[in-house]
Amino acid sequence: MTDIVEWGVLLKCHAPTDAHEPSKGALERMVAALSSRQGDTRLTGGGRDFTVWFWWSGTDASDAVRAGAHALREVAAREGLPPLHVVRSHAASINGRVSPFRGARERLSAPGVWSVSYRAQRPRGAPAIGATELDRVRAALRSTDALVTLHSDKEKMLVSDGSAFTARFWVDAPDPASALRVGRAELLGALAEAGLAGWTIVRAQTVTAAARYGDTFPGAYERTLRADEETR
Amino acid sequence: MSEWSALVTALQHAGTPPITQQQIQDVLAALPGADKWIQYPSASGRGHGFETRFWWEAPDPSDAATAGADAVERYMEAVAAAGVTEIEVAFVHVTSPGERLTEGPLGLDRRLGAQDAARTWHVMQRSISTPESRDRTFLSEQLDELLERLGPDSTGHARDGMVEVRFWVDASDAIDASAVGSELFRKAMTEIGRPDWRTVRDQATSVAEAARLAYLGVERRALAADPASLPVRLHPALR
Repeated sequence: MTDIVEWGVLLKCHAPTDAHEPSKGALERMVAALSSRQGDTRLTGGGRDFTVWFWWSGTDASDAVRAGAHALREVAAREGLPPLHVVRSHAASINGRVSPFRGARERLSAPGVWSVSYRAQRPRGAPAIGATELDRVRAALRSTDALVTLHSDKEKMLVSDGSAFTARFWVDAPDPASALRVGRAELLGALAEAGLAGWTIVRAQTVTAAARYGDTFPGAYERTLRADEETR
Repeated sequence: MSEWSALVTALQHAGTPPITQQQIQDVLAALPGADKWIQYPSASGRGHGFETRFWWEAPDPSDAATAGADAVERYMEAVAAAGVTEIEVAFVHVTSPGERLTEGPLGLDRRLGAQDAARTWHVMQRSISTPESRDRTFLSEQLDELLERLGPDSTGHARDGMVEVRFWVDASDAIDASAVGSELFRKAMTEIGRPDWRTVRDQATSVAEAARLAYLGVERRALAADPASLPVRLHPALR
């Protein structure tokens, strides 16, 4: 039997122009009502176009979208909002919501700190890599909270074909261009140390700690910590 | 020379007046290349700001990190030339066209102008094997079979233990699209012999919303590349 677990659900809604525009108070009350059920919600945007972030239970991500949307529409109707048109929906597990943001909260007040993320691809003919090589790359990166995974993003339990991996870590730099260069130099050094010279960087990203934290699903950190605590 | 897609998100300082249409046009004019555009306000909801998407031709040999650093410096020159000040670049993301295809919908332009655009939705489903799964392998032949069942312009990538696909459905809103898409996906997974995998990510987006998040020209650039070199597998009709 499939377990029922919590999923981070995001719904971007549009109130039709032929209906009244939702008031700020009504939107806030709607989100507060959702928060009282599962906790940790966020409202972005406003007026006719807004996004609601919340947690909902389901047997899988699709089930959580369906059930979460039903709950949202129920509280929206109760608050007198017009029928909402959902233009974007997104549901993912806690792992999917939190892992790329490790260390963001702790760095919020530190100036000149950037999260950098690179996807590296093996050169033609080179052997596939596994956990041992990744451990070597991680160990060679100086940053604490460095995350090196064989997949491009978030679900931890995946196995890869070993042809590419993603490294995320923190660097000190005055601006984004410098951050990308500093991070690149550090990654290339780590690759060489791990015996992976010649791998190509096909994707690069840099984000301020504040933007990284802002992207985190509300309550994802706390839920992960709680889950860790419960399994200890 | 090789082209890289660049996304730069700039946040305006608190209390700054909104940027004008003229400033947007001036930033675009000052940036190099074709297929560039600005989303204002930011579609991703990253604070009070705007997103600029453009293509950056980096000298060879290069990689995404070097190209990204060069591109963001060129971007800063462009916004300064347009008189846009009081901003902070908070997010830079640079990839090759093929990598960008792992996120972007194929066939968006065609659907955007179509009569039934209001009923057309793009769906993403990611599924992983579970401890109960009889088989956690996923072969490229199975991915082909899956894409065939999911319809034209579908794309996907898979490894043992995981598959992620993007495809189009006919639906009334995102919730309906998620329901239609997940049912179609589950049926297809059952037919290819992976009935007991679990969907861990579900996403549905309208055509108009997808256009706000799109990279112009990514399809043309990605399809010009060798299909075997792409990180996603295309629907067999596209190969």
